[in-house]
Amino acid sequence: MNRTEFMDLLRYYFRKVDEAELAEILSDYDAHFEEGLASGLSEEEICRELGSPKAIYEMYLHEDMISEKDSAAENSGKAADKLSDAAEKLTDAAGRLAGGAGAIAEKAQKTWDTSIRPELPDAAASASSFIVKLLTWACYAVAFLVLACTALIVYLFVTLIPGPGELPPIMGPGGVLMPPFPGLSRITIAGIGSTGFFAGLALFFTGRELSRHGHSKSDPPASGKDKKPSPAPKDETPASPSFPAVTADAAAAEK
Amino acid sequence: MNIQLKKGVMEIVVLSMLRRKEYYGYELVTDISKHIEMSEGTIYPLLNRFKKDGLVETYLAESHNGPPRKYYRITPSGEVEFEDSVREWTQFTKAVTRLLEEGGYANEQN
Repeated sequence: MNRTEFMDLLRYYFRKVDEAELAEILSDYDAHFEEGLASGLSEEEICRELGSPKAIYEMYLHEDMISEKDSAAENSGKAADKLSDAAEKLTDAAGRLAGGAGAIAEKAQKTWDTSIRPELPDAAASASSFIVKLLTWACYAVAFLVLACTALIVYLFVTLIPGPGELPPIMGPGGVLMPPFPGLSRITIAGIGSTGFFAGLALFFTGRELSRHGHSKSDPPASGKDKKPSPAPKDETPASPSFPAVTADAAAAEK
Repeated sequence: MNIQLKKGVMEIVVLSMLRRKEYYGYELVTDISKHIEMSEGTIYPLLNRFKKDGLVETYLAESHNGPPRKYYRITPSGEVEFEDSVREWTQFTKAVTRLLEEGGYANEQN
């Protein structure tokens, strides 16, 4: 950063401060640059030592030393500033709580499981658990099938790619000549292959999520950072265990 | 470092230097940054804060080859504030050291 950029940034951050105050604030840094240049430092070095104009602005704000002009148009900007400040504070707090978040999430999850979440009667619970297990294995099986079929199809097409006009016409039903098996371009094959591959993967992971939630519903979701509700086709693997955990976190973070 | 603690410490640092002699802005800022790792730009707001609180005062003096320089000088109330702050700081660091020793953390730097 050079001197002009630094001073311009300062002027931007202090844009709401009145002229006289602004002039005095800027004069300190102008003088600093002059002295620094006279001692043989470069503008970049001086800027580096001074630090960020934003930090300077925030220091003045924090020390409550500047009075900023209010205006109707400015107020929305102020609200946005406050929001971003609040968001920053929240993320700071969230970051700090990251260590304890797991514990809090578990606690919240336990509370949810023991007191809040509606419990199914045992018979229904074991029946639905069976169904979930079934679905899990179905997912795994279909995933495997899809992947296998994809591999097979891709292999067939790849080995069958004929050059133009290499295959003789085929004799179709009723003695009609049909054009040979169409050779697919490599791009199409790649497309089919990747579609099948990712579909298989998706099914596989669906099965995994099902198995996680189906096996023991009183355990918290496997990884503490799983805030997204898992794809669960049944109602009793509630997507909502995440929500009380999230609100507990947010509540704890906001404290 | 807690922002309040840092401010208290910077007060001590700045005032202790100004007790020795009167500095102009750039000189003070660069001398401080030799001892303490901090962005120099944030020292000026602190200086202005101290000026507003009456702990230091400023005056302009001609420099031999250049524009007039802003000099900082400690005020009597700054001296009082300095003594109070040093006392608090010493008590605080003594208490912290004692806590650490009691907790079994021996200071190995001696």
